[in-house]
Amino acid sequence: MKIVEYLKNPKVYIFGILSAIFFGTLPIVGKLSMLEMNSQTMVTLRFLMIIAGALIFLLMSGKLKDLIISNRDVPLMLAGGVLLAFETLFFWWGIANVNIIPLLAIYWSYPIFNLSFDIISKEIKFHWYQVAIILIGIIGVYLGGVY
Amino acid sequence: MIDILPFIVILTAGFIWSLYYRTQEKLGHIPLAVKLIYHLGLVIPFLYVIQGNIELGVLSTLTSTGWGYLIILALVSTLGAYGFAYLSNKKVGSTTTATLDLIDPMVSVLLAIIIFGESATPIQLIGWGMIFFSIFNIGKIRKNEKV
Repeated sequence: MKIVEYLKNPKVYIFGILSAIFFGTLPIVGKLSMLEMNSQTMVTLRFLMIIAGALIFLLMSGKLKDLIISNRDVPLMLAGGVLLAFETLFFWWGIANVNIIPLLAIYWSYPIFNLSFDIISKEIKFHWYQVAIILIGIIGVYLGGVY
Repeated sequence: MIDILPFIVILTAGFIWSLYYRTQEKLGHIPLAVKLIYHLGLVIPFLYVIQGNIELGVLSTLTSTGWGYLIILALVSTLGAYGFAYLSNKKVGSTTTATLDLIDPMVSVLLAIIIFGESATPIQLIGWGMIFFSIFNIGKIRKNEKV
């Protein structure tokens, strides 16, 4: 087996790996939190704490003016917020309504969509092994069980 | 008869998340704190309008354990997860970040094993092996980059 890109330069991927690990704690810590509150309150409180923390950070570092974004960035920033809102709603609705738990793995098929966007926007050339690598991972998620 | 609606909702959630990652890729120049304030700030009123089941009064009755879970949820599962995802999107792009996310459900299952005493089946181990295969070959996804 060839020495793969990841092993050559792990630093490039460390943020993504840490993000995935931290996101992985969400259902467990969320489930424990929900012993004392409902899911909507839990989501709201965790987001409010982060917003408050981010505002305090900007205030203390004298960068509050960074909150004023350029007109060019407004549409994407708004789109990001709206997309995140819908994703949060759909994901937690799915968690509550999908009885066959491993089928939640369908959610993790999204790297295929990202790859499709890259190919459509011609950022990368299509190659069968790109799809194969992602599909193997998605099947792995299905077999590995979700939650 | 399998109800198709939850599948569509879950798949849509994944699709929306991939679009969200795509927007993040284009907003790499915006400071993390600013993005968190805008995006998470848009989710809260949206959830309130759609679901309206937010009980902030629960804060007055929260036990020290409940506060502990809430703080971990905010700092690790939210700030850490979103923060590193933004950094990863900026560094390696949305497709690679999305593929690295396949680790996420595996971490959840591992935590469930550690915290709730659940056990892993041989099939799950095979699934995790497939996830690792994808992750270790992730560099090949962007190998044919045109730019």
